[in-house]
Amino acid sequence: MLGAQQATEAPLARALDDLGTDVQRYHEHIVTLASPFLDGRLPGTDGMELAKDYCQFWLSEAGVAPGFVDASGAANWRQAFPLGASIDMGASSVSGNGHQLASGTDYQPLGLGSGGSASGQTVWVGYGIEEGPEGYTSFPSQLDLSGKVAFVFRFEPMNDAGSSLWGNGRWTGAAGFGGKIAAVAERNPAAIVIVNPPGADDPRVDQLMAAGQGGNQAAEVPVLHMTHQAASQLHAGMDLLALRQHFDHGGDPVSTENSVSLAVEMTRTPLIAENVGGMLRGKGKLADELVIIGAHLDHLGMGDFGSRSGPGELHPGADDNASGSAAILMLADKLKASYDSMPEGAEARSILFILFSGEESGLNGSRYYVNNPPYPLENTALMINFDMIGRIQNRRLQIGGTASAPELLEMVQAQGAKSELEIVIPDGRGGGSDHLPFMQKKVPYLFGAIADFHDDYHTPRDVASKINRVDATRTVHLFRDIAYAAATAAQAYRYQEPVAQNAGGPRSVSLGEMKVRFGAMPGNYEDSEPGIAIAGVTPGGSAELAGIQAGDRLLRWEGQKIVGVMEWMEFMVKHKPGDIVKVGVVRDGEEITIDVKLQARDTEGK
Amino acid sequence: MLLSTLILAPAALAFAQEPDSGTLPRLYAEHGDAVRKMDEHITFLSNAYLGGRLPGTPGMHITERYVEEHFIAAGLEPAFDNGSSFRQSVPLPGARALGEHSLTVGSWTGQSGKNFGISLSGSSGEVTAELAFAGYSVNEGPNGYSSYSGGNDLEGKIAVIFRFEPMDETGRTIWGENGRWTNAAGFTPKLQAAEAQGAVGIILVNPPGVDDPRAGEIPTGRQNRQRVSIPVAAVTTTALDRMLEASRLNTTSMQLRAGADKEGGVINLGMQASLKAVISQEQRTADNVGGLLRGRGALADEIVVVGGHIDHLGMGVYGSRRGRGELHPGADDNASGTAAVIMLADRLVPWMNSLPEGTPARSILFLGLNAEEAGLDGARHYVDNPIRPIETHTLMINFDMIGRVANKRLQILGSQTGEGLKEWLTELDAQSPLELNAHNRLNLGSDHIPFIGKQVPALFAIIDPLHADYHTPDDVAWKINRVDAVHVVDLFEAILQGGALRPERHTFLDPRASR
Repeated sequence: MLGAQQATEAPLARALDDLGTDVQRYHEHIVTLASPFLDGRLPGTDGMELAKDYCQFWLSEAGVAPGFVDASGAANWRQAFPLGASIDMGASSVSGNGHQLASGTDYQPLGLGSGGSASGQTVWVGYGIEEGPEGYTSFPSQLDLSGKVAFVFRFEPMNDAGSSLWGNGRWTGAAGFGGKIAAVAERNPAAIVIVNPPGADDPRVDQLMAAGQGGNQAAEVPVLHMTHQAASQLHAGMDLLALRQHFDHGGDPVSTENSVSLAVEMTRTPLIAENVGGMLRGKGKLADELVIIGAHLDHLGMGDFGSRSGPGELHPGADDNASGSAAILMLADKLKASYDSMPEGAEARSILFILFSGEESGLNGSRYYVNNPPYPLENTALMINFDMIGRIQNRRLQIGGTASAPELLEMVQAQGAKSELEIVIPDGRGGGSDHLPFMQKKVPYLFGAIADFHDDYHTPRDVASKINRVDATRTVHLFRDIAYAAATAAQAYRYQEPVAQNAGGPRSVSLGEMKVRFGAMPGNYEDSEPGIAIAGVTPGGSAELAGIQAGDRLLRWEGQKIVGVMEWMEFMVKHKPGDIVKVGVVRDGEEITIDVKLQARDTEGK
Repeated sequence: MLLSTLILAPAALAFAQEPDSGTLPRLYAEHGDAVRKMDEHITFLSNAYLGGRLPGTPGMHITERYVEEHFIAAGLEPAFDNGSSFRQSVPLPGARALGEHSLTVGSWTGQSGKNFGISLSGSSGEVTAELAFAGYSVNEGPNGYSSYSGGNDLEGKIAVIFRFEPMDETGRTIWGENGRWTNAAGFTPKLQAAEAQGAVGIILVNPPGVDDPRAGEIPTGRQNRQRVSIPVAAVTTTALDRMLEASRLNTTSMQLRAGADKEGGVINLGMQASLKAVISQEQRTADNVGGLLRGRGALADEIVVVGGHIDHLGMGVYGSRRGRGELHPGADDNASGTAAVIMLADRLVPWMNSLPEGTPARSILFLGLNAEEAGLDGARHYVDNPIRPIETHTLMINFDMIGRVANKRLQILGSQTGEGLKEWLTELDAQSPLELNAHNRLNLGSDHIPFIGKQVPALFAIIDPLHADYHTPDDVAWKINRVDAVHVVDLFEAILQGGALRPERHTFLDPRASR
């Protein structure tokens, strides 16, 4: 206790004193995990390494054992899995026509290509587009670029005002980097240079992509992004506006007498991410069965992907999902104490506590777990997932998944009756997070999350100071009881298809209410990858005009994860024609955000 | 879910929420960013994950990184290695371990652990030399007593010296009150005095007949820190008598003591001794973390320093008031001061950048000092290895425990060490919500002391009075008075600005003169 005098002068200390030791501990975890020092917990950063080490420390403090077993059979706190690659750009140089260009201002080497050096005569291959409308192509048949340095304009054919000729004022999918690089690379050039076209009506026309950007390699040769001024210098002052117009009108490639030498050093390191896990051994015959309690630890770093406010600023992810991670650490401590005080002869399932990584990039950690389960999934009685429990309002906590096994709802309600929280049972699955891969493997699950969404989601404003520590701690207490009940229930919960039971579920979305039409056909409704695969787009429809292509995978709608088609419909039913939505799309393994202007449903296709 | 409804949610929250649920977010909003940052720094730094920030441990390495990254984020330049590094490696006394060792005097050979041992206060070495008895090896005792004449009384000799100090017939001190030994009885001054007289080795002996429970020990002492650069052996009183039996002086330990109790002087014992000690020392380092904010114009070469120690007691391996084995989070001591230094960097970089063209200003050096708790090692190392000559350092500010201000009281020590500081503090006191107690005692030791030792005026801010959680596992984050800690930062923001801009420096005043 504080002295009375200090208490009145130290309001936070007084509050923390009043709120008790569990809230104090929760506060410590939240502040630490959401500290800017932890780099927004992006996999591959020092901050994420620290975050994993932090969780391992507190699991170990709780007295649970390492949760995994490595290849040699030794106990291990970590479960490693591959998660793309990180790129380290070294020195680079570009010269030609007596000019030495400056990296960073004149050009930028991209991670879409490889390291290496090249020199050769230059060939301009237009916009590098394989197939555009009305037979447009940048590539005459038999074009061979061997030994040449290929120069390609960014974007796509444009009018005199610099706007797309194809996209009704917006660039279509043909403008993407990945597609044109792959198309040019097929013609076997020594290197590829993408040039900002002069006169394009786009704010990015004077900007270069960040060095090393584009983790997914599209070509086995160096790929550079260059300003048109620098490209012109390399070509003895060539008029690039005139050249652009040549290509705007479908002109053939232009070979030049100029030679360019370039060299790019880069190291591409496969990124290995890790889930962190701790095991609380069960008792008696039930010990071989498992309850999993998980939460994703990773977040968006500097917002290079998945941000609703753009890259370049730290995304601390206090609610998403330092809040759930902190709950895991406290549950390990509380359940260990509960197990230690169980009476002799009591039976209880083992409990595996997991901090998943790679969630934000597509549930990668949980997906890896279910595909490489260290403990048989058929013996996994329940998976509990927390994703965003830190911003509870009006004491409303949503618990999804209660229909994924008979009697699960009753158990949750019985335990919930003891809690100060109001439990909200959602329609449907309750959102997209690490419980989904378990659901797909028919493991019963529960998913705890805030019932009322906030606008700080996936922005730099998701900070520790806004976290409702009191109700998050109540969530910890509630789930200690729920997990204990699930771990000690005589009969394991058996998975059932949740939708069948749930008449008020997401399939109640009526197409009659739909005012807009996206203009894209989903591929497989129930495949196991996150998001929705696009099988095709309606010509002239919202999706096509915005540049969405067949083969894209829709991942986010205004920053929120698109879990399945029905959930996507739920998003769409709330829009009116003319709304512009930010749609996160995975293309060639890379997430890009595309603005889609939604057309009216009844005018579509007319 | 519609974005428009989402945007409304935070506004609705303030009204709709149960009072307890929103307490902390509301307090953060009410008290502002500075209080929030103070809370977040201290909460992070005192997390059990950092293990009590003991130098050399993984938790300390994270702490060093934490401070460095915040200095970088604030816009400071690397202070060390000509502006290339934020780190200054501080060698720490690691654990010392005794290897091979022996002592032979004439035909007498010491038996380790039985009648002889090696003191880790000495160094490794192998010497063969004449033995000379130097009494209690006291340089300056009361009433003109000295064991030495002032020359190189022990040049080339192995000195035999008594533990303790002159005593009466009952074996009790004749200098101390109530039978308590005075400082002259300590190991270190004796050893250093003998070394200063030119001794090449030392043999420490318990004087016979001493009235002290430790009389039967082999007096190696328990020091694990080197104090002299010559080997130091320790033998029992009986062992000394065995050696003396072989001496042509025909004397005993009791006779030697009787002489030394009365007066000083060195007696050549006329015997050769061979002493060998091999001591290995584990090398450990910890880093001071330093960031520089470059000044302007004619004053830019001068430096105002603001520092706080970043280390604490770990699991109470030393310095604990509760004992070993429990985490000592050190939230007040000195996550609070560390947070203050980081926050001042955040504030003073934009301040310096916004000074009108042509305003001369001193450079400001921000220091996260290491290994304070072990003995001011980081600060001592800095003043011996400053980034610019120490004379260019015009003022040092030290924070050590500013997190538990009660009754608005803050004590400031050191204002007597610089001309004009006291008057200035009186002015500032009137403006600050804090009540400043700027007194003349320098009774609380921290990282300002080595600076004052180098004649750099220094101010030391610390809570008044100390709390019962000091140096215990109860020095935890939640108890911190964040609001008043920010008031301390506000106050010293003004002091640092004034210290950087004041045309003339605060001339150093010797604190001994103002006692």
